[in-house]
Amino acid sequence: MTVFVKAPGSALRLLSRGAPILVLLAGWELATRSGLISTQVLPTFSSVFVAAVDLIASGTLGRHLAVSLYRALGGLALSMLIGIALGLGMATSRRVENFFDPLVALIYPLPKTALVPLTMVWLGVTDRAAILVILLACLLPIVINTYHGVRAVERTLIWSARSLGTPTRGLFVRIVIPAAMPAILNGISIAIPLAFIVVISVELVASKVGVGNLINGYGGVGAYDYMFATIGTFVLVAFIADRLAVHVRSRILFWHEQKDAP
Amino acid sequence: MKLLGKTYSVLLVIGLWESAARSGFVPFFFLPPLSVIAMTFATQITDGVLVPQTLLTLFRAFGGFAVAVVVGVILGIAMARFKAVHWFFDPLIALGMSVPTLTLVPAFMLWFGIENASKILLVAVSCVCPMTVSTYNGARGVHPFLIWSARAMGTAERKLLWKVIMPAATPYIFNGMQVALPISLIVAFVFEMVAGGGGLGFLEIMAARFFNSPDLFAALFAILIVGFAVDRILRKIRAGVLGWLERDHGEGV
Repeated sequence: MTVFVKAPGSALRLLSRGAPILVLLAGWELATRSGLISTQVLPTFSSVFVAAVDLIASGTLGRHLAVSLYRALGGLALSMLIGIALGLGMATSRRVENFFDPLVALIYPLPKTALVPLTMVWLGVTDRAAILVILLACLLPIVINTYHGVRAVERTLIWSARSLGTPTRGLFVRIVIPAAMPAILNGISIAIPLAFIVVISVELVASKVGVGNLINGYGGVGAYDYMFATIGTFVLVAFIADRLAVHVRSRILFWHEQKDAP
Repeated sequence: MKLLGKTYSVLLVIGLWESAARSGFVPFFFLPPLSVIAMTFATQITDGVLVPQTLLTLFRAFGGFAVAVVVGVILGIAMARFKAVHWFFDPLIALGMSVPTLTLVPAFMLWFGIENASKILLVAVSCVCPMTVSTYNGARGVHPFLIWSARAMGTAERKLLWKVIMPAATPYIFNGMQVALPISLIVAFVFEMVAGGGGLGFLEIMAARFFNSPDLFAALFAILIVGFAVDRILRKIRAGVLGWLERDHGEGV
């Protein structure tokens, strides 16, 4: 992926990759200006752009975005803490595995956004309710990937470390966790888009603040230029978050060879 | 005994749930007893509420899913075969993969109304990116030797697609479907919660608005059963279609 470019020569490649998006935006502007598509249905790109600038400059977007990010990242952080601990426990203790394995298998196929109304009843229309659903949605991919990652650690690594005198507690920190790290990060990279999907769902369904609420509100009063401006900027934020995660992941796993994602 | 050993945690949770709810320790609206939920579930089925609503949701989810599979497979193969198609769609797919399409719910309500069409279309848009990426990876990964051999043995260019590329890409297409299917359900449920128009998501959110917990849990369990069944059925189909390939290599999932 070429979003984080360092070599000056690749500016051309970035342009080539960005071109289709520019073509679409130009097509949007032309189709709406010429009246091919009514501006009642789709405002012109330029008016959406102006609205986006206004949303950012007035601080409205920042305020709502901060709430959404707080919820998404809060839920994600909690799910990482609990999920990695649970995955480690299940992978290393037969008793823990026997207890949690059937529960995980039972809950796994539930589309997690179905929990939005339940947390609404439990905790009301609050940040805590949103964080709880996001935590539950992100938990299982992290648990399952951590579990498989730890189970797949090669025995020879552990034997070698032992024979070189690593104490049992050190084994965990110095051998098992680093060896399972690619799998754990896989789980987290599955969880990040989930966190964004769920936070938007919560805010569309029941919330007084947040980006989803903002989109819904503008849609409800017919301020479509502002609605599309909010959607567009959030799409950009989610995209940048995804790229950042890929970047951080490759930084952590610099020692680990991996196939580049398509 | 062995079964008991395997499922004791589930039984424990059920027992704790029932006794906590019955003891009055937990408010009724918070957690109604499982037995009450089971009764509600049964009545809703005999009253003819739950099954039609479930079918309605499934129609929306599967309708969009089917569109996404067809479009995604065609687009994925076209991207693997034609440089220009790849150049145009690759950045768009990369953008689409990382973006929650649910932000488009209000926009789709504006464009296509709140009936089935807008729900099916948003499901399709949400599922098309994973389908395209998986198919592309599969079609691109076909070993050139296979294509050269088929050509050398006189396979026509048009048959190459059906005889060589499609079979080789099928496991990847199934991977894409296994990613896309839960997405189709998620989008259908959330759209129903936001826009109404019936369906399981609508049943659930209405129950929540009236603090009718037994109805809420009945809908939630129906959703759980749907999610479970759909996952199982896709795995069965996969095993049936790909038996020739994965019987020898073992399934990776």
